[in-house]
Amino acid sequence: MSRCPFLFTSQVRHGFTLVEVCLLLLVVSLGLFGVIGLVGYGTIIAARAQGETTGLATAVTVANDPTPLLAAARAGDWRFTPYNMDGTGNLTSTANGYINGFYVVRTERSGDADVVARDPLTNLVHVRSAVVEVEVYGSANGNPVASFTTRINRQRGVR
Amino acid sequence: MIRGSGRQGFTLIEVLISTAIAMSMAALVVTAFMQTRKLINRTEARLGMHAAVQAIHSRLDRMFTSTMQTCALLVTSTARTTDASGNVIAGQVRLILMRGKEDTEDWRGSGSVAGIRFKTDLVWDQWQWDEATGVLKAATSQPLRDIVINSTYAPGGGSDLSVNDWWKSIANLPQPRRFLNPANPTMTLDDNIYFPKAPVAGDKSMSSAADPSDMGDYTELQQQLRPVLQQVMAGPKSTDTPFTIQLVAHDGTVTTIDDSTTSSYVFQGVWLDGRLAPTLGAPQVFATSEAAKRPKLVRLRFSLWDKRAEVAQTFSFSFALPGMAPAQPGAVP
Repeated sequence: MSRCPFLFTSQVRHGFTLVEVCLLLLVVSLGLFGVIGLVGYGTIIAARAQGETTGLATAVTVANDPTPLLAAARAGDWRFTPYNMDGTGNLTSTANGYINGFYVVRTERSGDADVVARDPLTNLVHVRSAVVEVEVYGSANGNPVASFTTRINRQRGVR
Repeated sequence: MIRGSGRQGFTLIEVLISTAIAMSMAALVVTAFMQTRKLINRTEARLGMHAAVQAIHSRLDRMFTSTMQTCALLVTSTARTTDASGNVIAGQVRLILMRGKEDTEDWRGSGSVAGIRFKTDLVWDQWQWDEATGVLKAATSQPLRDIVINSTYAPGGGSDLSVNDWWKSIANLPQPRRFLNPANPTMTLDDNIYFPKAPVAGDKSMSSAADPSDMGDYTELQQQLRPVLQQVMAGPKSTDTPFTIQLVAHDGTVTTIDDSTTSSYVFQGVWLDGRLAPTLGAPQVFATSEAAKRPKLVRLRFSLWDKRAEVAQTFSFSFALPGMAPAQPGAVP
């Protein structure tokens, strides 16, 4: 026979009602979902950190090479528009697409003053320098993760 | 609900309803938990890949940007084949190059030439991918090695040699140009003028009796090979070769090397003084010179596949090698 005065009165034993049990389950479930949601959010944050590791290396790669060696599945999505080496005025070349899990946009600009070597007989430009800007994004509509600007020498016949 | 003794409990309906609710909640939570765990595993695998690849890229970038024009390159591949017994012979891709100077004191001097220092420029690098293991290995030759040097090539014509043994710890001395015999490039690698005392005549890869580290460069490179990246293999949906090297030469020629074919390419070093022909009196034609055939750009593509997390990622990097602009006839600034 129980002597506890706080739990029982007149030997009547009380349990939880259905509503109380349901509320308890709801609260516990919400708590679990909250924890899982936080873990998922942390994972997304960690995924973004990968941009700090290979994003710049990818930018340097695309700055060196507007037509990198891509996986077959991604090669078709890569767009590259070169300029005419012998053109005049402000020349612009663009390249964009997915590489190394990033979306990359490359812009190369060269003007008349950037011609390094020209054949005076044929007027063909053999070497011209150009400014290259590369922006690396997490996805096509994603946040920027790295950028790189450099000056290169473009050689005739070699991309 | 209170009968007799006054003991209260759930009715059957209440128990069934609460159990159903609990099971529904548990199913939702377990599903969410499993998905989260899978997401965590995949993210962890992907982050690990990117971190490892970043380290690889740094090492490759340092190697390629310090490669000098006088240095030779060797790229070979072995195709995956099946022998007569039905055994599968796994593929392999290798890149060996001699890169630039290491600021290393490589001559400690002797009594007569105390304090003289030389720079090393015979540091070799090797990268090797093996299909069988999916492991990428790398090696760098030691800038300082104990060598029983041929006195012919010592400063002072050899008069400084044999004074003390301690200063025999030297590094390789510069050569104006490295040239590999395409017919047997690895043997040429070992055929170094600093290893003339091989115990087996004609085999410079053997260590001399005087010092265990006195051996050919190629042999030493093989000993230095260490794994730097694992899981270099194509994913289940990939149609790409797992490891591919593409070289873009100064003349625009593109050479692709992977494990689909067996091949060997040698790119010779150019002369230190920039000439394009063996003799200065000969016509200096860039288009037909070794300089035009040397790679201007190295493209590297490899796939990583983590089976546990089911994550596949292909990485592609391009490295610009130091090069010479073509001396086009009539070209002026």
